[in-house]
Amino acid sequence: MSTKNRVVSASIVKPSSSRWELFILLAGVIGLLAATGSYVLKYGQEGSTQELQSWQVSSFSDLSEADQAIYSALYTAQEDIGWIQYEIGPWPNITDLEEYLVPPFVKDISWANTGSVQWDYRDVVQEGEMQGYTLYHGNMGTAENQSAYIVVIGHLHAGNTMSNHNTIWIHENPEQDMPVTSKTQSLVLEGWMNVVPYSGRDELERLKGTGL
Amino acid sequence: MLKKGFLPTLVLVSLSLLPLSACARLNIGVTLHPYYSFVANIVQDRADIQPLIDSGYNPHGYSPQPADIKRAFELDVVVVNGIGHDEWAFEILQAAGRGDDLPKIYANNAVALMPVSGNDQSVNAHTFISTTAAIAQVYEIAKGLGALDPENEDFYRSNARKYAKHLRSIKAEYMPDIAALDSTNFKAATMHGAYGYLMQEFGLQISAVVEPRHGVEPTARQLAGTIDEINATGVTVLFAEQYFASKLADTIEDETGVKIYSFSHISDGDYSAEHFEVDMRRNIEELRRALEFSASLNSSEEADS
Repeated sequence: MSTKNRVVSASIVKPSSSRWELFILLAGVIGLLAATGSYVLKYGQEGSTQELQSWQVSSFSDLSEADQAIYSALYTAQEDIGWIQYEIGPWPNITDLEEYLVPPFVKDISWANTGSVQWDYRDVVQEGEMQGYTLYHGNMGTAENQSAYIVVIGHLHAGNTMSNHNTIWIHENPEQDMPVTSKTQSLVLEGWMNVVPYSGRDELERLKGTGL
Repeated sequence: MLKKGFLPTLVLVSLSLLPLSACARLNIGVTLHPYYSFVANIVQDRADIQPLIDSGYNPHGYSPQPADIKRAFELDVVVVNGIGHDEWAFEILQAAGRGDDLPKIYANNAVALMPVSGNDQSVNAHTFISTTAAIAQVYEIAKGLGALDPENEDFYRSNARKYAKHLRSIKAEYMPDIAALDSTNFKAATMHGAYGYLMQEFGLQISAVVEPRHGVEPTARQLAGTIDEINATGVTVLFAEQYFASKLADTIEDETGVKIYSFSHISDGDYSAEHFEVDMRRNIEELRRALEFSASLNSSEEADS
C-alpha cells in the first residue's frame, strides 16, 4: 500500500472546558477559604477574649492553679454568703462558713492543697450612710505562685440582707494584710487586682453573639 | 336566670386568663442527666421534667431524632449547659420551631469557667462534674425557674439551698479519708478533658489529657506524644471513662505502667433525682482509691530508700 497520498494531520486537542474547570476550581477554593475565614472569625478564638483594665486580671487565663481553684470557690461562695446571711441574720463569719462547709473557707484537703490560706472578715456598717460592706480576706497561703485574696460584698443598704455588687480581688503578695477600705481606688493603689470572671454568659456571647 | 352552661364556660374563660404559674405546672426540658437531677431536687413535685433526649445516648455529638422534636413542642422552658456540651439541643429546638420563643435557662451563666487541662485556650464545658460548679448552676436554675413560676419561687430557692447543703455534705463525708492520704506526688492523666472542675475542687491538677479535643480520639502521633508526656512527668494514674469504653486506656497502661481508674461523665443511665449524687459519690470514691494507690507508691519509695 502506497503512503504517498496519505495525509497526516495532527492537532493539539485541549480539554474542551479547561478554562471553565479552572474557574470552578478557583471559585471553590475561594469559597472554601471564605467559609473557613468566617468560621475562624466566629469560633476560632477559643476562650476568653476579655478587655481588661491595667488593674484587672482574667480568672480564665491569668491565675495560677491555686489562685484559680480558690477563685472558683469564692465565686460560688458569694452566692452562699448571701443565702447564709438570709438564714442566720448577720453576715456569716469564717466559723459560720466553715460550719456550712463552704469552700475555700472550710479546712479540708482542698484547703490544704491550695496553700492553707488563713481567712478573716470584717463587717462594715457605715453609720449615717446607706451603704456598708462585708469583706472576706485570705492571706499567708503557701502554694506555688499564691496570692492574697479579698471578697467585697457590697450591701444594698447598711446591714441589709441584700447585696448589690460583689467583687473579688487578688494581691501578688500572699502576706498582704486586709485593706482598710473597700473603695476601688484605694485597693488599686495598694496593688490589689480585680479578678474578672469568664463566665458561661461570656462564653455564650462569644459563641452565639447574643446578650442573654 | 343564668342560661344552662354559662357557669362552666365562665370558669373555663377565667382559668384561661390566669397566669401560667397559677393554673399549670411547668414542663421543664433538660439536656443532660445532671440537669435532670438539679431540676428534680429544686422543683420536687411542683413541675414536670422532660429530658430532650432518651437515656442511653452519648451526649457527645448527638444527632437529633424525630421524637426529640416532638417533645420540644410541649416545653415551657429548657435548662441547658449552653457552652458547648449540648449544641444538639439548639438544633432540636430550631427544628421544632421553638428556637426563639422557648425560655432558656443557661445554667453556666454564673459559673467561672476554666480551660481544659493542658490546653490554656479551650473552655471546659464540663461544669456539671463537680460539686462547687454544680451548686452554682443549681442556684442559677432555681432563680430562672422562680422568675417563670413566681408562685413557687421561694419553694424553689429553699430547695436549691437544701440541695446545695446536701451535695456539700456528700463531699465532706470523704474529706477525712482523703486528707489522711499523702497526695504530694499524685500525678494523674485523664482520657477525656472533662474532669478539671472535679480535680480543682480537691486542689489537684491533671498533668495530661489523652483526647486532643473534646470527644476526639488522638491520632497515633498524638497518642505517642501523650505517652511520652506521661512517662516524662511521672504520671502514675490514668482516669478512663466509666461509660465510654476505649482500648486506648489499655494501650496507655501497657506503654506507661499507669494504673487505670475510671470517672463517670454523669451522662448515662436513667434520668433521676439521685443520679448526680450517686455518680458524684462514685467519682469521689474513685479519686480516693487513686490517691490511696499514689500514697502507697510514696510509702514504697520511702521504704526502699
